[in-house]
Order: sequence, then structure tokens, then C-alpha cells
Amino acid sequence: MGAARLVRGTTSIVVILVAWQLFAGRIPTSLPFPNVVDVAESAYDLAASGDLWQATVVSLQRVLLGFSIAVVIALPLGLTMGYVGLLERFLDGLVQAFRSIAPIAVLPLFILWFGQGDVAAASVVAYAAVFPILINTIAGVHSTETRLVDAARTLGLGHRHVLTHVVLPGCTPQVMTGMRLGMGLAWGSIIAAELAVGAKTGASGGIGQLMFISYAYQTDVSALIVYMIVVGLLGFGIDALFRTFGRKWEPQRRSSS
Amino acid sequence: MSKQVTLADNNASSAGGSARPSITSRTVIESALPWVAVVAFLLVWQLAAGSIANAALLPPPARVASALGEHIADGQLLNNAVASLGRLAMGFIIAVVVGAPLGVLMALSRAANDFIEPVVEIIRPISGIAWIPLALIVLGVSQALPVFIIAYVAIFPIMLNTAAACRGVSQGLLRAARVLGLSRSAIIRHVVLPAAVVGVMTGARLGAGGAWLALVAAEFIGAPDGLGFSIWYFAGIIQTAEMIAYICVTGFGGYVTDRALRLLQRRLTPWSPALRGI
Amino acid sequence: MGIIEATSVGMTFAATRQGSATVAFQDVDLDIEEGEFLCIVGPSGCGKTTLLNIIAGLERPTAGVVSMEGEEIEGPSPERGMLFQDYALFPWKTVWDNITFGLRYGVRRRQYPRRRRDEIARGFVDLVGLQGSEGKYPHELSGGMKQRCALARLLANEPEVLLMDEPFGALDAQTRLVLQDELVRVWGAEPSAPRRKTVVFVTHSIDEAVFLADRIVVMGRRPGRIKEIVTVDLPRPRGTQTRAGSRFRELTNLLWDEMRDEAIEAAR
Repeated sequence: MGAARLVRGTTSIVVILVAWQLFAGRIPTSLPFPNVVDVAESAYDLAASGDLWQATVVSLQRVLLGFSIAVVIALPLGLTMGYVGLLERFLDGLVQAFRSIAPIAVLPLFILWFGQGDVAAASVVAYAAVFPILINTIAGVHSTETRLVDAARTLGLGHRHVLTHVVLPGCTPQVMTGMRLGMGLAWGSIIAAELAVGAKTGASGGIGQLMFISYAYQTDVSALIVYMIVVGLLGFGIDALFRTFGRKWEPQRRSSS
Repeated sequence: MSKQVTLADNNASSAGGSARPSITSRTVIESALPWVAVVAFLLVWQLAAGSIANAALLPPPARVASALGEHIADGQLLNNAVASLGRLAMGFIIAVVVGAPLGVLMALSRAANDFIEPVVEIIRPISGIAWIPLALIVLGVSQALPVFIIAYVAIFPIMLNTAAACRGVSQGLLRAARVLGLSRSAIIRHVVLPAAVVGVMTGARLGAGGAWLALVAAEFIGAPDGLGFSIWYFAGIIQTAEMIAYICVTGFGGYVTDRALRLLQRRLTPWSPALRGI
Repeated sequence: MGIIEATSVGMTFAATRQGSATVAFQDVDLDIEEGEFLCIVGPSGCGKTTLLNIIAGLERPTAGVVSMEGEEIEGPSPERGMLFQDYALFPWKTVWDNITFGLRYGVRRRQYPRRRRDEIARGFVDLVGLQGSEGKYPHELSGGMKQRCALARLLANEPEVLLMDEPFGALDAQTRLVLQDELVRVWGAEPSAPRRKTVVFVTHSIDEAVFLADRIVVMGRRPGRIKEIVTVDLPRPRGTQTRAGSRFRELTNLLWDEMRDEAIEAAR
């Protein structure tokens, strides 16, 4: 399968790139549309200058901060909600209500409260990531084999130790899934937030804002496409990281019986 | 390849096993519990708004409710909601029309799969939102921009889940169909396509959350009206009550979309076991 | 007075959406003597596992009281350890970490220093014959090895009462016989205990019950209740020759008739 697959895959990518190179000039847009070579040159220039790296670091830091907040909130809450049925019932309505709101929709509120800086951006990220982690953690707790909980209880474990030593490791695969989904949303949200804030003032930093600047002020379409590629690469890299981690935990999924 | 990621929801059964003796009054209390939490939340909001005493920073719930009422009464809200939902529906329809056949094709033909998959895997990580500025250059501030972004966001889960669902048709079923005398086209129609519908619905439900995110983001920047546009507009003129009202409507829209897709899934694929999971 | 006493215990499962309320069993009175090996046999659906769960403290009865040493059982306790049919080994822990699990994380975790804990665990690893497998994960073990590991985990936790819920039910016939022999050997030869531990062993295998038990509780169905208690007068130590003896056959035949009558009755 390997060779034919590789040839076909490469063919279709090459065809697309050639088509882009040939027809770029004919795309009817308000600005001249760059061809492949333009974008490659632009990528080289941007990589050489420090701006792109700096913006990337800013965006990544925000994602990391917001995502950490989401984990710190969602993981213990999800464990407890999954373990204590009444608490789950109690919070169910609120969780359903808030998770239905697209995370980016609350950005203006966070900007109003926290200003246009990192805090608002990280808050949106946290909002985006918290629900997938929470919901998957709860589901993970439910799927923990009740026998294992029983076994731990008859071995003399209190509720707190059952949570940390049985339920938590038992639901790790689902928690990883939740984190992966949450990270995907978080990465989308940070770009959206930076784009939107960039549209408003132009003083926030981050790769999303660079995109907005190259669209609105510099009208540099080549750079814009380079930024898109960087966003894609980073998104892919982050996801791959989570997948590798997730696989690491996979053997644990094997049931005890 | 995205397998069918299970985003479990509140339907997941409560921790199974020990059937505790339960009393009727307890059941009543339990079913009231979520509402208690909602009321408590509104109360906290009211108290917080009272102590901040600044409607621009945090209007009390009643202010938001009355803003909501006004906008419902003068028809503005309806217009915006229709605009947004129309774009969402349009984007989803395009995603299904393009994505589902491609998914089936990918499942049926190894060659087609080999040609399409690498391209998909390269483009897919670029989130829909990152396309917004480029789409602004090509399409301008328009109806088309949010539709394009939504279609882009929804097409990948639909396509990949359709392909996965069709590939998942067991050899046993295919053999059974052949033994029963079905032609190749009949097999595709009666065996493969039902599986494709399962994949489309799974993909649509997985894509719905991301589609709402993209819709609101696209409307912030690139649309002349709609729910996202309204949130951003009222945020700009610091009419916080109106802004929150529209945020709530967005949430309601997200909820309704999820329920509607669930209902549609149950209608179209009543045999699908994925009903509870995703 | 026994170490565990059940007084008119009953269990009724509340009506659910799927069906009406069901009585698992009712009016169960049982005295379990300290140091005895008690087997509970009965057809499926007689509530024997539920009864064991109640003794463990995993479930609360809807009627009556179960007490241990005069105190009502209100929840699980390391005093009453349990062996499960599906082993219930923690899949993310090695054999060694499974065996030391209760000592490390249970309520008695501060009772022993680490060195002493390891000594205890080592003793039981040797006793059940798991030397060399300490670093393996449960999925790398055969069914018999898993249950040995679970047994070592149970014993290392030093419970007073051992509750066993069809522990050999998932094993093939041969492994089952080997583990029965092992169990009576281990039970007789436990290093840390000056006296034999109380065992409550649930099974649906009559042979197994006769081979292991001092007394056998026969439960009936619909509703579940105690039908009869049979004293097994086979001499200890028991071994392969026990199963060949005529008294063994007499007892199994007696119990078999008992169970068959019950099944016919229930089917009527």
C-alpha cells in the first residue's frame, strides 16, 4: 500500500500547488493574490524577523495559561460531579446553559471586565476548554468500573483516596480526550479573540492580531497566508502532542478482567 | 483519522451498579435540583450587580431580561437570529452536499482516499477562524463570509465520519447482501448509504459546537448583521445589558442546534447506537 | 455469638423505570462463627452476592441489621476484605502495587512504615507463588495469576473476615481446582495470623462449597431466603484425597438434590 499511497498523495498536493501558482493572478480579489513563490518568500522573510516568533509565543502563553485554568477548574469539579450524583444533578442545568454559549461570544464581556490584555484572552481560552474537559471527566468517572471502586473501599480507602487513586487513573483516557478536544477549541478561540481585539484597537499582540494587521493595515496577503500556515502547523503539533500522550495512557484502558 | 470521538453528555447514566432504595420524595427533590442551581446563580448575579452598582460593568438580570424583551418586541432580535441561523443552515447544507459524497467516495475507492486524505490532513488543522481574514479579502464583509467559514468548519467532521462509517460496514453485511442477490449499485444504496447517513449525523453533531464558535467569530468581524455582530456592536457602545442578552440568545441557539441535530439523528438513524454517546 | 450476625435481613430493590420493585431476599438470619469457612450456595437470583455485598458494607439492607462483633455494619472497612469474581485488579498498577494498594492508600496507611509494608507484601507474594511477576501489569497475567494477585492483595491488607464472591467462577475447571487447593493451604498457613480467619465464600458450585466449607448455607429463590444450613464434617487438612472420598460424594449428592428441588420448585 505504501508506494501507491505516497505517489497519489504527493500528486494531489503538487497539482494543487501548481494550480495555485498558475491561477493565483486570476483570482478576483480587491488585492493582488499571491502565488506559491510569493508566499514562500514571505515565509522566509517572516521567519528571519523576530515578530512572528514573538507573536507565536504570546499566543501560546495565553493558551497555556487559559488551558491550565480550565484544567484546574474542570478536573476536580468533574471528578466530584461524576462521583457525587446529587452534585451532578445540581449543576447540570448551569453546565448545559453555559456550554451552549460559543466561547468567543463572551469575549466582549471579559474585555469589559479584564481589559484587552492577556487576562481576557486567557479567560476566553479557559471558557472554551473547560466544558469538554468537564464533560468528558464526568463521563470517565461514570465509566470507571464499579468493581474497582468496591475493591478499593473494601481495602479501606476513604472517598478522597478512592477519587485520587482509583477514579482519576481509571478515567484518564477520557480526561485526555476531553483535554484534546478542549485544546482544539482553545486554539481556535485564541485566534478568534486576537483577531477580534485586533479589529478593535490593534494593541494586543499574538498571532491572531498579526493576521488582522496584515489584512487590515498592511494588506499583505502573502504574510496572511504564512500566518495561516503557522496556525495550522501549531494546531497540528499541539494535537499530535495530545494524541501521543493519549496513546501512552491507552494500555490502562484494558479492563482488569 | 478522527474516529467517532465520544463527547459524552448528561444522558450518560448515573454511576451504575448499586441500585439504592430510593424514595419518591427524593426523586422530586432530585429533579428540582438543577433549577435550584439556576435560581442560585441568578441570585448571586443579582447580588453582585447590586454591590457593583454599575450597569455598564454588570447589569442585574432584570435589566438583561428587559433588554431581551425590547429586542424581541421590536423584531430586531428575530432578524438577527434568522440571519445567523440562516448562515448556519446554509453552511451546513454546503458541508453535507460536498462532504458526504467525498466521504463515501473515500470509503469506496482506495485511490480516491489516497488522493484526498493528505490534502485534508494538511488543510484541516488550519482552524476555520484563521480563514476569516483571507475570506475578508476575497469575499468582503458579506453573507458569504460566515457561510464559507461554517461550511469549512463543518465539512471535515462530516466527511471523515462519513468515510469512517461507510468503511465500518462489516464484510459480513456486504457478503450477506451479495448472497441475497443485490447488485453493486443496490448494495451501495441499501447497505453503504444508510451507514453514510449515520456518519453525516455524527459529523454534523461533532461539528456543531465549532460551527457556532466560527459563526460568532465571523460575525464579529465580517458580517453586516447577526447575533455575533450584535454582541460586538453593543459591546462597542457599552450597552452591556443588550450585549449579555445577545450572548444568552447565542447560547440558546447553540442549545437548540444541538437538540435539533439530536432529534434529526434519531429520526434519520433510529438504529444508530451513537444516540447516547455524542 | 458469631463474629458476624445477620438478623432478619431483607433487601428490596426499588421500582425503576424498567420494572417493579423486586425482593432480592428476606428474613435472613445468620450467625457466622469466628474462624469458620462458610460457603453460600444457591441458584442465580437468590441474592447471595447481594448478601455478601451487605456484609462487606457496599450495600445497606432495606430491612434488618448486619453487625460485626456487635457493631452494626454501616460501610466498607478494611476489617472485611473482599475477593471478586472479576478480580477487580487496578489495571494501571503492577502486581506489586496492587498488593500494597490497601496498605499504602487505605485508612491504615500510617500503621506500618514502608519497610514493614514491603515485608508483608513480599510474604504474600511468596505465599501465592507470584515471585518474578511483581512488575507485571494485570493484563499480562493469566486468569489464575490474576486471582492469586487479588488474593495476596486481600491478605496483605490483614482483614479479619475474608469475603469471596465466586472468586474462581471465571476460571477454567483445572485452574479452579488448583486454586481451591491453594486457598485451603493459604487459609491454614497464613503467616501473620495466630488463628484462622473467618471466610464467607459465595459460589454456585456445590463441589467447591463442599471441598472448602465448614458449613454451607443453601439459599432458595423467589423470594431469596435461607433454605438450609449443612455442616461439612470432612476432616482437615483437605486435599486431592478429600475429593475422592465417599463422604465428599454423599454431601455433594445431598446438596445437589436440595438444589434441584429448589430449581424445580422455582420453575413451577
